[in-house]
Amino acid sequence: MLSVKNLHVTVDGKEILKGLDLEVGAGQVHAIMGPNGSGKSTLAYTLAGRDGYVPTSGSVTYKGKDLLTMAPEERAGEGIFLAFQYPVEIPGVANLTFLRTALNAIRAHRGDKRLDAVEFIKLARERGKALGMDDKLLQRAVNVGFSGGEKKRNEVFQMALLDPALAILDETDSGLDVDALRVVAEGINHMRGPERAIIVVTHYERLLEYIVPDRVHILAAGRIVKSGDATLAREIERAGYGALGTAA
Amino acid sequence: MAKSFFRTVDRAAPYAAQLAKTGEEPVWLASLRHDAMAQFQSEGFPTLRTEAWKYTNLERLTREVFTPADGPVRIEEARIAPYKIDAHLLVFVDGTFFSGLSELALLPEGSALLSLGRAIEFAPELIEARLGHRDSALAALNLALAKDGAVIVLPKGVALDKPIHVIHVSTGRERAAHHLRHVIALGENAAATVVESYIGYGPGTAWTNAVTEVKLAQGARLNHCKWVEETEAALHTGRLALDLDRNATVEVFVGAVNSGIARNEVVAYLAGDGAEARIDGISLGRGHAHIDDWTEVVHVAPRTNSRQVFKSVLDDRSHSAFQGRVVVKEGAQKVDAHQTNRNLLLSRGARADSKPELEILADDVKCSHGATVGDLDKNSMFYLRSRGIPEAEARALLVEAFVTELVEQVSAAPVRDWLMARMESWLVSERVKTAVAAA
Repeated sequence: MLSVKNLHVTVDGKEILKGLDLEVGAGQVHAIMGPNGSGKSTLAYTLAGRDGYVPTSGSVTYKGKDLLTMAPEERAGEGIFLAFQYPVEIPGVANLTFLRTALNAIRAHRGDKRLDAVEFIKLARERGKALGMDDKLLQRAVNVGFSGGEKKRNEVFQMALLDPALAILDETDSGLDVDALRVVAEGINHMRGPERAIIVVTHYERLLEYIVPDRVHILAAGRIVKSGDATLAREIERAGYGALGTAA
Repeated sequence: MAKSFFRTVDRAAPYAAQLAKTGEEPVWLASLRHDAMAQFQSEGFPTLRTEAWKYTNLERLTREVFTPADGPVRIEEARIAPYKIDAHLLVFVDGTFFSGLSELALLPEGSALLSLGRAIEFAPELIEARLGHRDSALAALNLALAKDGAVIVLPKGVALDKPIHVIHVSTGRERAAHHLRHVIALGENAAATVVESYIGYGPGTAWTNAVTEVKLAQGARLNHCKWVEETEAALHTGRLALDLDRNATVEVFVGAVNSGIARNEVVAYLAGDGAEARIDGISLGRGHAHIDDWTEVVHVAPRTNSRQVFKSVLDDRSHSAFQGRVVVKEGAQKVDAHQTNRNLLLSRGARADSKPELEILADDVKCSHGATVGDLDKNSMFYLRSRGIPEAEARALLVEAFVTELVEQVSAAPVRDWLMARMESWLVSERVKTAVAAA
């Protein structure tokens, strides 16, 4: 589904990713771990198409298409979803309006019919309930006045609603207490399926106790330096990044 | 006034002759007008050197003489229909009350709702003690020449069932001046919602110079909205002067769209303990619009609060300015005063100027101010686009949100809905423009 080859990415004139390779197949969950500053978020933003994250060489192919030439909204239309490490507050835009606009834009891209307000609210309530989303959060402005946990829950809720083919979760576990972590992890596990790929970007192994990945990659200094199965994450937890001889 | 070495043309002089034409009026009023004209003659038109006018050049106004339009003008109902709300309605056309389109109902006893022209003629005692604000040159000229406007007087404890809507229509007569003077006086614990809207059509450059003076007695509550949506040729100068007694509260919303020049001044004197003023404003600019908001909030008494939020959204080569002055007088302790100015520039040619001014003479006060000028927030844009929302739509959504966030604070529901509708057409054309640019 996703094939990253020798990807180099520059941010503010500084090279952050230095020849990254990654293959993610449908139905798989991959975890990307690494110390701070190793390029984890840069990879996530680059895949989602953020301005200022400039690929200088290499390629990213998604479902057979060149991902790097697509605008962020096109990528979303094609099924890519990024759960933000720091979800953005947007005063004046109701969460429901935002989500309906997003869902309908994606449906239009896919050639599906738009949902009217009633159909949408029914769907939103249904998906929200599974994640324990308070109805009030749907009415409020996007992420405004949400607690850290509510923001992350809102990200997973959006993911459930937009139904992506490739979900990238950037430090979705950070700032969550154990209960919130469990709810969010359940939400993510619920999304696992043969058609969908999930990339979990995390600093800690904690989240991976709830979401057991098929593959774990260690990112250091802009490259993947080690890959393995779920046991690799536990090894990191026990011995730290330094002990693997991967620190740059 | 100091004489310049170079001989300059006295732009104010021709206006002295207009005073003579004010006709039969009570002596106190004639004398008031005389003094006001003398003041205007001595102060003259403000220039860019006048600190309060540093961002607005009145050259277009001062190089010609603008004369009050003669006689009443009839207009069709269709001209005002789109602007109407369910309200007591006073319509003015080119500076003169037009009863034909006004809708006045019987008010509770002791209340008065009528035109200034009629008040001068039939009930001068109603306005004698309430008329007189002339704290600026243009307000003085207005006092000297204004023959009409709305007079709203509510006695103690009266709250009206619906808003009062004052509409002024400029028919765009070339070099016509419309001086309007509105007087609002609310008795103890009385409450009212007042909307002043200024609309216009026609190609001519007309000047509307409107002054509203408001006196709120103890515990009185006023929701006041002023909306300027005149033509691109129009010049608008206006001043809302508020006096608040103990525990009186006022909520002001000032809005202007696409005007040639729209200058709105709000002056609030929080004279009584516990008085509160919330003053918000929106400027929406396209083309060569120039919108200038100037406020002065004076905390005279202790425990008085003020909060101001002014925003502008500017496209093309439009220009907005905000000058906000907050004064806390000696002994006015426990004052809370906050001011924010946020400007959204949608094109390279747009420009926003912002200048806060604090003068604090008490020590136990909480005051803050802040200003921002910029494009849409990049993080928000990326967030929306990453969810599949196309760039043009994301922009439109954020511009709408920027405006909506403030309008939502208007507490009188009919006014809030009306404001949303007024902004809608501007936002829709902005949306169309963005979509065309994206295609």
